[in-house]
Amino acid sequence: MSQPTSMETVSDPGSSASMPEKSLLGMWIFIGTEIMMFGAFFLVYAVYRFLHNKAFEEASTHLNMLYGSINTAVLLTSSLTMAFAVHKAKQQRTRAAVMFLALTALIGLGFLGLKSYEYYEHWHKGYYPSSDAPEWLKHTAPFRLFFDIYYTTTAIHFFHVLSGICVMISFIIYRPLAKTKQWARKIEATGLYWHFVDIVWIFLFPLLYLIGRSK
Amino acid sequence: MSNYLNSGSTLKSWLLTEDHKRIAILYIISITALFAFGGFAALLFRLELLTPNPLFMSSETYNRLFSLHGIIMVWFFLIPSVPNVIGNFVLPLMLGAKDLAFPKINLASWYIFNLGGIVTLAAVVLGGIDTGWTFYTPFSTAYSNSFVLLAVIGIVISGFSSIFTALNFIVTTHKMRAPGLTWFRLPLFVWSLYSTSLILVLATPVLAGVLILIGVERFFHVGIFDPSLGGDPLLFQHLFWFYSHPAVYIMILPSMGVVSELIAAFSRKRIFGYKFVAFASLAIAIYGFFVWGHHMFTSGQSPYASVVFSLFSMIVAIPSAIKVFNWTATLYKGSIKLDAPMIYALGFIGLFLIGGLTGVFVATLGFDVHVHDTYFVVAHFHYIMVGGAVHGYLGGIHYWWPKMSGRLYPEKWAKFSAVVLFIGFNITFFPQFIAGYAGMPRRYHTYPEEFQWLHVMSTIGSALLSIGYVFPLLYLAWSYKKGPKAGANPWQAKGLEWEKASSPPLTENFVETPIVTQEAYAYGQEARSS
Repeated sequence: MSQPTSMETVSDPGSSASMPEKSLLGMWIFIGTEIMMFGAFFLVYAVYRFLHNKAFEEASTHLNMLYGSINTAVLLTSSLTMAFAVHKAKQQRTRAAVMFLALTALIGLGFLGLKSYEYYEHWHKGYYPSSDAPEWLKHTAPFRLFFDIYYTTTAIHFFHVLSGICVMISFIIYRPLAKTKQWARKIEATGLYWHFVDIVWIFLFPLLYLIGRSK
Repeated sequence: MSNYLNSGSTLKSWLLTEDHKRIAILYIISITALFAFGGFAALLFRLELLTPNPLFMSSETYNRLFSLHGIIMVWFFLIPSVPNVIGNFVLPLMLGAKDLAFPKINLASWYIFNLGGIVTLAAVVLGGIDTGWTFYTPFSTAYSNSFVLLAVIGIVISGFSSIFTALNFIVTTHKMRAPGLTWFRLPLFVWSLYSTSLILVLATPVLAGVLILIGVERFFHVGIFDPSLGGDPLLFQHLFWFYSHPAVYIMILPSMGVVSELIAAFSRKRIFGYKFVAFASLAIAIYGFFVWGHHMFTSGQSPYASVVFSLFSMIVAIPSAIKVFNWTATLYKGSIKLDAPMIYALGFIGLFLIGGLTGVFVATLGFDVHVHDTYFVVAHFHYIMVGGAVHGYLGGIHYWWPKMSGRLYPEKWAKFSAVVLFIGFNITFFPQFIAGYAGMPRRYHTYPEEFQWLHVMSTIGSALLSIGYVFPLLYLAWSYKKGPKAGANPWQAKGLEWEKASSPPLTENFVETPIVTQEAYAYGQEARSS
């Protein structure tokens, strides 16, 4: 009766020792929800790729692999700078952390910039869902279905990158004069989110850009 | 005496509160208003169904009314009811905590919920949607000329409200239990909220995904679910039901948790087989993810898949049955008090039994082919949702009302309403089993004459049922101002919310952090530490 036979240490709700675990647990659960949502999109992709393999292969070659590769490198680099930001924040070196956060946001904006340009190029070629350009309509329905999935998944990813950048900027603006430990926890949670967004791209890039490129 | 209700009486102190108890009150206002909409829609179409031929509305209007009813009741009443009202209020108290883990996110969740409600109601006011709450493609994406996009946006928004609440509950349960409060000393209501939260965080995002795809398809005319453009309508159904089946467990699990609390308190006895009930909640949550195909037996999916889904759907009934057995065993040799919450709890057990057993019937492939898309299915799920979930919700509201308001409701009126609800419910929905078995299809505006007597009975029942809903609204509101003051523990129940917190509680819940040394429901000499 004296020792709780619990599954984990019972924490005193008022203490600050349990606080970092709360934010991080919360972020991991949130990431879990994001995995489920992107999972739905990946399932749609998987089903249609299975049903229309040839069309997907052909459609994939119409994506610009150079832009995709550059963007992959860009996002991976931003994950590196984010990791540095978290590290500095945990060391309570707020100014350095802010610098790395700003760098991460900037690099993230670079990703968004290149992606936007890529979208512009597609639009210019007439390759978008309700286009009535003959070069678009000449393709089969499954070919166009690939592009529908490409647009939907990359646009939602775009939105997630943008949200991450906005959160980073808000933490740069609202950096604390005191309470650096709490701020560091928030940065760590943001770091988790950013790495997740990066991982989603790591999945999207080969699945969208690299189908059948080995041939 | 200072408490959470009178500490701050400005509108701002309510609208910007971070107190989980105030947020629970805010939620009760929102969902009651939305329930009125959804219920009124039902009254209208039940009136319309009094005659086999159109009475006072077109088929178009009829379709929009039942769609409205389904959408509001599922997403804007049932799913938030127990978790966001009772759960928000009671969970931190049961854990011995000052508040939830993320109070600001809790408040945000309420605002997001209201935004989702407003957007969805906007779709209704503009003319509504006619696809049913299930949005099947390609009708919803390509052919329906109703406000599908707007409705879908509203539902996705409200989904985020659910996710935030569930996230809050999970983190709070893991990280903020009082000293000595081990997992197996938790009240079973906490176990059921935790299990529900697991489903919420895992399933709701899939709904967001599929509804986003519907929106994209409708707005940009892509072909994800449209066969003429290479898409597959069945893919929609798989994705939709992958969420929507677990969603029904979201709707029932919290009410089951309430029933555990009520049965224990009003038998003055610990719940028989505590660990079995706790694990059954988890089992329902996990297993509920493996049965979605039972909504698609006649949609053209592989018969082998149907066999597997049928088998799994029968297996998932087992943990629910375990709970019913354990509640019944708790009653045995208990010191039963038939107060209003207990009447609701006992009503739950009987009606959920019928709903659950008929669930096993429809899980049976051959039988389902006969009754799919008939009133039999409608009756089945209303027995669970109204006979089960709503009874649990109302029972919980009555039980914790003294804690929430500091007042006692009028017991005689409450007993009367509970009985009226039970009788009205059965008159409404039992005839629907018969009608469905005899072939009456669901979502049909007109029907052959031989079904009329069943529809008339059902409509008369629905009038009684609405009395069972309106009366508590009236006397609970009355009691808030005029009811006798309740003490801290009017039920003499066990539990931190009763034994350590005042009625109404202080804003910070407890004078000092409680230390737990006993198991849950430590009534009488049976109490022993776990």
